[in-house]
Order: sequence, then C-alpha cells, then structure tokens
Amino acid sequence: MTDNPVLSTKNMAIGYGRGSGINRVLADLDLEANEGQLIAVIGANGTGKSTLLKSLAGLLPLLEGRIRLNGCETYKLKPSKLATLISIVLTERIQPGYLTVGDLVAMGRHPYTDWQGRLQKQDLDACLKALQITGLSHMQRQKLHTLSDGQLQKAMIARALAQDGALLLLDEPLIHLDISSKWEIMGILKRMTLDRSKTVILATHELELSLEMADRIWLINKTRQLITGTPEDMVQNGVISETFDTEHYKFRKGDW
Amino acid sequence: MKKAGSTLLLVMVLTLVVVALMDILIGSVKIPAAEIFTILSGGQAQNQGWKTIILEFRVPKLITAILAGSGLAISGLIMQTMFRNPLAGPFVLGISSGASLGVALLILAGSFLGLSFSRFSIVGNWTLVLAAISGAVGVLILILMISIRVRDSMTLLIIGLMVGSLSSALVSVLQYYSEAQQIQAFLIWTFGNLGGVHGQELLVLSIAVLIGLTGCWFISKPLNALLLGEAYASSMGVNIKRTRLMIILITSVLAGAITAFCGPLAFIGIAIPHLARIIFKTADHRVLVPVSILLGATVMTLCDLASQIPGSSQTLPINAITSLIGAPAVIAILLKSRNLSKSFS
Repeated sequence: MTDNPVLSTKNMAIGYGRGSGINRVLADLDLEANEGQLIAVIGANGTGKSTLLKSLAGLLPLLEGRIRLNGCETYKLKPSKLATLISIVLTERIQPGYLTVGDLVAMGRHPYTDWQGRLQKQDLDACLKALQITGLSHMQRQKLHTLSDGQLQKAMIARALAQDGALLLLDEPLIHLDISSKWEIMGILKRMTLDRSKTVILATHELELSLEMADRIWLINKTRQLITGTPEDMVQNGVISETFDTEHYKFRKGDW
Repeated sequence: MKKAGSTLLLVMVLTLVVVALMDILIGSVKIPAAEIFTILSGGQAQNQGWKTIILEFRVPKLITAILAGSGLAISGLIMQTMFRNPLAGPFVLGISSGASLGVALLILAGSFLGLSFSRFSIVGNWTLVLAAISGAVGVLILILMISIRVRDSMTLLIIGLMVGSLSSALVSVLQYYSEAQQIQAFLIWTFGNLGGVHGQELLVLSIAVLIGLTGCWFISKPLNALLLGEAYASSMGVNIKRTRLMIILITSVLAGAITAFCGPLAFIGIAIPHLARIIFKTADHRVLVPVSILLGATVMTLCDLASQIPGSSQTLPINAITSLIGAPAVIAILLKSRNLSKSFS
C-alpha cells in the first residue's frame, strides 16, 4: 500500500442552497484518502454522510473549498473526465425496466464510449472483469427485475467498477441486505482495495463491520465534526462510544 | 441489435410499406390499383381527377400520418425517459395546450375583431397554424425559463401539467363567451385532421419532424444514461442541463409542429413507446428510437385507414380512431404480456 493521496479536500464546506438560504451540513473538511484504502464513513442518521459522498462525487456543488483528485482540482475537470476518476453507488432505487445485468454494467463505460455508446474491446473486457469480481458472470443476461436485493446491489457495484475510476464511493451499500450478503459485499470491496489498488469510501450504519474491515474511519459525531482515524484509535480513544452511546445502546470497547 | 431484432425490424418496415400502399389505395373515390401505380410512377392517368386525388390528397395525407405518428411516438418516448414516468407523453409540458389556446384565441376571440372562420376552411390555414405555433412557442419559452431554474424534473412535470390546465381553463372561458358556430369550429380542430396539410405546409412539417427525429438519434446515449436517473447519469459524465434542454426542445419542435398542423392528436405519443419496449424487450434507446419511429408511423397510418368509413365518403375524426382502436389494442397487449410494470418500474 502506498501513500499517494488519491483524494484530498481543502477547507471544504458542504450543504445545500445558496444565498441566504444556505444549510451548511459540514464545514472545514480537510480530508485525505490514499490509494488502496477502504474508508468507512459512519455517523447517525442525518449527519451528512450522503451529502459528503455526493459532494465528493461532484453531484452537489461545494459551498466552499476545493477537492483534488489524483493531483487535479476537480472543478477544472470536464464532467466526462471526472466520470473516469470517480464512480458512485447511490441509495436511490433504479427503475430496472428491461435492463439486463449486462446492460447495466455496460452503462459504466459511458464516459469512454463514442457518441453512440458502442462498446470496444477494452470496454467489454472491463465489463467482464467487473462481472467476474462481483460474482455475476453467470447472470449477465438476466433482467434486473428478477434479481434479489443483494444481487441488484452487486450489479450496481459492478456498474461502478466498470466505470473504472481510482475512487469508488458507495452510499449505504449494505442496507436491506442479510448478514451474509453484507459480508460478501464488504469482501468484494476489500479485495478491490487490495488487488486493484482502488480507493473505496462507503457510508454505512454497520459499525462493527466497518471497524473490522475498514482501513480508516471517517466519523461524524453529534456536534457535526468529522473525525478521522484508524478503527483501533477510534475505539481506544472513546470517540465511538461518545458518538453512538445512547440510553438504548452501549458500545462495548472490550469486544474490540 | 441481434439477428432476431433485425428480422423483426425488417417485418416492421414491410408492414409500414403495405399499410402505406393500402392507405393510398382506399378512399371514398374508388380508383383502380393499376392506375394508382401509374400515377405514382409519374405516368399518364386516364382520369385527371384521379391524379389530383392521389397526388394532392392521399399522398400528402399519408406523408402527414407518417410524420405525425413517428414524431409523436418519439416525443412520447423521450418524455417518458426524462420524467421516468410511464404516463408521460408529448403533451405533458403543456405544449399542445398552448397550441390549443392559440387556436382558441384566434377562432373564438377572433370574432370580436371581425374575423370569421367557416368550419370548412378551418384546417390547413396558415393563420391557424401560426396561432397554434405562437401558443406552443409561448408555453415552450415559459417551460424553458422554468427548467433553467428548477433542479429536478419532477417539479418540471408538475409545472407542465399546471401550465396545461391553465391554458385549458382559458380556453373554457373563451368557449363560454363564444357563439355556437365558433365553438364547433374549434371543436373540429381538436378532433385532429391529417388531411389538411399540403404543399408548403407539408414541407415545413417535414423539416420540423426530421429535425426532431435526427436530434433524438443524437441523444440516444445520454437518454440511456438517464434510465438510471439524473444523479447516476450525472456521475457518468452526462451534462444533465444540456440533455434536458435538448429533450425539451426536441419535444417542443415535434409536438408543437404536429399539433399546429394536425390538431392535438391523442394517444399515439403515450402508447407507442410502451409497444416498442414490449415488442423488443429492451430499454436501449438506440433500438427504441428507430422502432418507435416505425411503429408510430405504421399505427398512425393504420388509424388513418380505419377512419375511412367503408362504402361511404364520410371519415371519422382521427382522434376518435386513435383512441377507439388503439386503447383496446394496447390494453389487450398489456394484459397478454403482463409486462408494463416490468418494462417501466
């Protein structure tokens, strides 16, 4: 694992609106993500995890500050170029229609194909590879509406992989999944970081899974500050308990 | 497209050719088939009247049907994709309501200014076309200004519907204060008419429809990306604002021009894209665009054929036909394939 910052933000403030109606969700963010890291963004509902991912992906304009991706300021990049560096899996449900798994994954090649979207050999190779990594090779021709939630989530991840950016963002990819699918998907993401040096940032509520698998934790606490560190540090210095302990739930440090 | 797809496409082209020939063959005046082919191939006809009927009535009507059918099918397709809504059609932006308002103003309010329109001169009249176009363009400008301000398409859809009902309300008020004769003239316009477009008008309509169809072919790729929603499309490098602008402009050119020349033609725009998806079992616009063009042209020509009452010189209004024959047909297809929810959910 090297220490090239794939992503860095400087003085970034994110949120919604403009003019007097600005809602600043998080501010003063100086974040860094290195090649091959698996980063889990955790925090309670409504703390801004999705807003953070969408802002990093360029889907929401920044209120302040800059993002550097592979050394380039993102605001200088054309949308089609940015799409070759970052791909994202969102929480919103898609309308599958007559799309097959193969069609969906091929959409990931959108930034690379010509105006008619014709797939060249390297595009097909990237799609096949993405299907193979997610274990969907045998389902290529299956219609999306026949898939289970877990399979659909893997297909969405395969689409993002086919887009082949250095950075992969996932907004709650584990939601609605059973325990074994959760581990399977985390395993796929972990292998992406190890075997293919991708940087993966996922927002999740799976505290224990994140502490187990992630290289870094970005934690948004109750006062809307974003704290970064390794899972071990986070547990040891008590940030996790401070954030998640309520009268209904106590994080047990001893388990980790 | 795979082999089976190409065969199917070929069958569809042949169907269109057959339907088109029948549309020229059948009419209130019986003309022998041999004569028709002589006239069409530029030969000398036995009867000069037949030549006039074929070249100045039936052929322009056929071309109008093909243009209107394909244009409406395409605008329906791209509206359904942009709004991700199976009920969207060419007129959800309020374009045709705008055109109706223009026409209503001309016919109904025109009488106050001393203009009068007899019901027979009503369609194919440049004044009328210009009134419809002004109405459509007025709504278009309004929608474009709104679309620059709003971020999401759903808001735009609702605003389009509101603009539509606003114009309908104005039309109602105009009707309330109008004479029976004017109301009838306006009603006849709303029934739709494929037979009133000739010469220069046909040229203008052809150019508008060709521009719209070509434009749509060029945005097939971003349309495909939009199937996953605007956020995903944007993350794949699609310029959402530009694409949305293109979609609105294409729809306006197609729906606006067709409504101006033929009246507000119902049904084709919503139904044909669904048929195209069901027949080809695909969501890929590179397939759906040509297929919708073909299907739209074929179905509209069929409806035109059906509007000729056999053994009579009377014709039924085209709008009644499209819905009378089309609606049950689509219901039957949907029930048989039980697939609409899969094709669009």
